Amino acid sequence: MSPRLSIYRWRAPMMASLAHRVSGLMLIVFIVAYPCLLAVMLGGPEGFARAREALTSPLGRLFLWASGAALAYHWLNGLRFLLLDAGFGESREAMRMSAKLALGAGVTAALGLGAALWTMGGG
Amino acid sequence: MACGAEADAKMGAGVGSRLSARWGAAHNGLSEWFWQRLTAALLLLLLPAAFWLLWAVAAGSLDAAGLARLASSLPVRVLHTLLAAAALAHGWLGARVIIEDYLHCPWARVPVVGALGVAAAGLGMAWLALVWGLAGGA
Repeated sequence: MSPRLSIYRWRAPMMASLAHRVSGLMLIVFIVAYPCLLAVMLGGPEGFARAREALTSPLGRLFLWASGAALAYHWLNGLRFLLLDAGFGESREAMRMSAKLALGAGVTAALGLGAALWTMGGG
Repeated sequence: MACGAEADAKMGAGVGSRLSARWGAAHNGLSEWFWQRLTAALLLLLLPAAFWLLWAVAAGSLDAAGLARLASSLPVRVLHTLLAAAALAHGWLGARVIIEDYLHCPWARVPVVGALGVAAAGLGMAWLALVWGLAGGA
């Protein structure tokens, strides 16, 4: 087992780090699917219509929601990591606070994306 | 080489640093850290743009002709090239770190990491062929 699961204490920075990995794995699915969808969409009007139909199907919306939510969280927490690397917010309290902020913003973004997809028109 | 439960016990006893120094990427960790951060900085801008493109198609605000025009413009081809390189490098480095954390046996870890690298390189070449080839004729 990784020490992240079996040894470290479950505090906000640890959960933020674990969620960063999970969202990163979800984004790997996105970066595999993106060029495939692009190839279909650039294949002509019929391919474009097929791809749009797939993206607006329930499974396509789930893909867009999961990718968007993962992107929003990974983006925010990645920015947090870059700021930490640059020496900002390195105290224990600041790290815990920024981790809670990233997790909270990620959940908010996921809810917002879900609402936007729910109200988006069909294909 | 210890694997499975034996390796887990050693990790717990603090021997993990020796295992990773011997089998992991610790010999060039600084270089990997640098590339992970450099590609992250690029992706902060490029990945939301790629997501927006799919969203715009789904929402009906980008049609087939608009997408073909956009994809075949030189700036977007260059940005797609940067996106492909940064996303695949960042993804591969990140996946490798996760694999090294969970797969302790070199006979399992080395082929998995290698196969991922080959898959990433193949996808990258196909992606670039699409961006610089098909998009021009669309």
